Amino acid sequence: MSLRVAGPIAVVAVLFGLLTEHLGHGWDQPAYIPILDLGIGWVLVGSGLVGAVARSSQPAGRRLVLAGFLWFVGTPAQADVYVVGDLAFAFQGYFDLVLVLIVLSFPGRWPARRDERAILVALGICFAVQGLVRLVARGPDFTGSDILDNQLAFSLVAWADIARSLLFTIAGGLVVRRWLISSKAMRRLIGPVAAAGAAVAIAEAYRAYYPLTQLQLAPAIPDDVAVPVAWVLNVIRILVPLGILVGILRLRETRSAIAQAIADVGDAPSSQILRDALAGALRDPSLRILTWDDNLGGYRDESGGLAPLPVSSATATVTPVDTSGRRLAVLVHDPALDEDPALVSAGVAVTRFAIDNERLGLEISRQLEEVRASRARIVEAGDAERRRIERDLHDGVQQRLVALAMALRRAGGDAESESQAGQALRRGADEALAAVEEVRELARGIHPAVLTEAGLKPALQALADRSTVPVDMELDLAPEVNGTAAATAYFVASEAFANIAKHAGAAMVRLTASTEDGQLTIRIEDDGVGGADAAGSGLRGLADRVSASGGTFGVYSGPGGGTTVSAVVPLD
Amino acid sequence: MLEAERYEVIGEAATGATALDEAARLRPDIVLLDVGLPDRSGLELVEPLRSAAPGSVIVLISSRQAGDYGARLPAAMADGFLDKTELTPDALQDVLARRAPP
Repeated sequence: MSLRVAGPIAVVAVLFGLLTEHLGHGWDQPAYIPILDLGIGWVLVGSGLVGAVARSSQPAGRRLVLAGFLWFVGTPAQADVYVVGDLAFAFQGYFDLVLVLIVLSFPGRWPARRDERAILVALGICFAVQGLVRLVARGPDFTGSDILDNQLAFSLVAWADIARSLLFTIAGGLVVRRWLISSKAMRRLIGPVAAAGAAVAIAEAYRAYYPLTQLQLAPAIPDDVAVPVAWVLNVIRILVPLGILVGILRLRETRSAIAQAIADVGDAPSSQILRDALAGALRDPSLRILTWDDNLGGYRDESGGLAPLPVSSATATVTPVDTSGRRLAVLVHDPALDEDPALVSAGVAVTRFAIDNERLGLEISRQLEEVRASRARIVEAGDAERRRIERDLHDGVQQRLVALAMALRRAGGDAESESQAGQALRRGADEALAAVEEVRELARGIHPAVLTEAGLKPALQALADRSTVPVDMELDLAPEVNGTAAATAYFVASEAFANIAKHAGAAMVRLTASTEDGQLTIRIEDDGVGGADAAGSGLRGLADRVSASGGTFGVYSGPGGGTTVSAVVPLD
Repeated sequence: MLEAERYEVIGEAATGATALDEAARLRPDIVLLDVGLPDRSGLELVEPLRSAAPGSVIVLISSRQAGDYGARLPAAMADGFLDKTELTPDALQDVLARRAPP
């Protein structure tokens, strides 16, 4: 119910109350009469409106409003106004029927148990008999008391009254039973309602005594007892709408807690955190989240164990959590939550969001791991290919060139031989040897043989030996360093030395390499002009290669001079 | 080529395994041992060759250069090493000369 509807209803209730009071008693009465009449009615309507606005899907609020209006209807029962008095007399007390309906159903729409429905039907019959008899039997002088002249009508009404009071008492007992057999979450909701219902049951049990005195089956109650008791009963009446309102507002409270649950889950969604957050939000400590596992073809519980196939029962409801037709999980929760489908679906949404999120996260890290591994494999495959080409050059072209040179040299004869052919053959031999040198240079650039044959340390040593700038070397390498890590470190050093020779104009280079904690660290510092471009193709390629093998690469080159290239590579 | 200069080739082997057999049978004065053999590294073959043919002078040869093998070359304990481009009778003579006389 929106405020736009509730506002006018409130205004109508105020006016209707005043009208019925005016018709019923006028204003020359002791003050407590209008105060009680109007007070109880307005509290009923007011509580109902607040409840209906706060929780529009909950019928209890609207029913309270109806009960309030029915209360006012009964007020002019003694009025000398044609029809109004008759109707008021006939329908007096019907509000109680509505209250019993609320108390037995809350937070649902109708009572869940057969005996509860039976009590409700029996009460309805009592009220119908009473109303009908009163309509028919009421005399023409509108005083209401003339019903006393009709003995049958009088007895019927009185006995219906007694039966009604007893039924109310039983209804109160049923409410208490409902509370006793309910789950913790449900008790919290219906607690205030049940307490009010129980209080009314006691009051009604007392009221059953009054018709007995009318039937002269029991001694009359003296006024000095009857009046205070009537007051107490009326105060108890006020408790009922207030109790129901508290119950309605508690429903409201649990709903807004969902927002908190989302906040709790958002940061670090794990099954346990999700369960705890949701259990808190739904106020259901028994809540369980079972996640569907496609590979397993079954549900897993929060600790990852296989859970038996969940089935709804009297003590637990199973609500599925699906996403676009695919099952993700089920919530196994207290049946009390069934009364609040909006709350449950909010819980389902939170669960779906959290599980989807978790799955996406896992999927992404799995893919990332795949990409990382494939990058490392590409680097490895590249290294292997380079080694193969280097070996082919050595064993193929170079061998043949060497053989050719030897053959030419032999054919050319001694250096003393002055024949033109001899000289030409010896020149041919020299050319062939020069070609061998070139092939060696080429092969070294592709993949240095020394790295394959002797390892990283001699390879770095060889680099330093070829360097045009003096190198201060400090190596602390484990002897078993080889493979991708060694090749990566070598290429870092090789590129750095090439850059130093070309651009740095350095007087000194310092090369340090060490293996520690499963990592290889290499660092080449020069005292040159600095200003190296880390985005240049050579350094860029190195950075890619290092990160592909799972390492980190850095170039520090200030305008003030000096360049440091460093890489940290995990050992295989 | 070597045959032209006072050397005689008395046996050839394509693999490390046959080299060991041949050396034991022929007891050559000099073994030219290629590092790049199909079945195993020539560097590892020096020691077994010595046991198989004591007294043979073992000279490692390779299409690669000495520096490419780092510390593994001295560790192999051969009598000498020749880059194949340097493989001339004179160079071989130098290696033999550098070796202490028995």
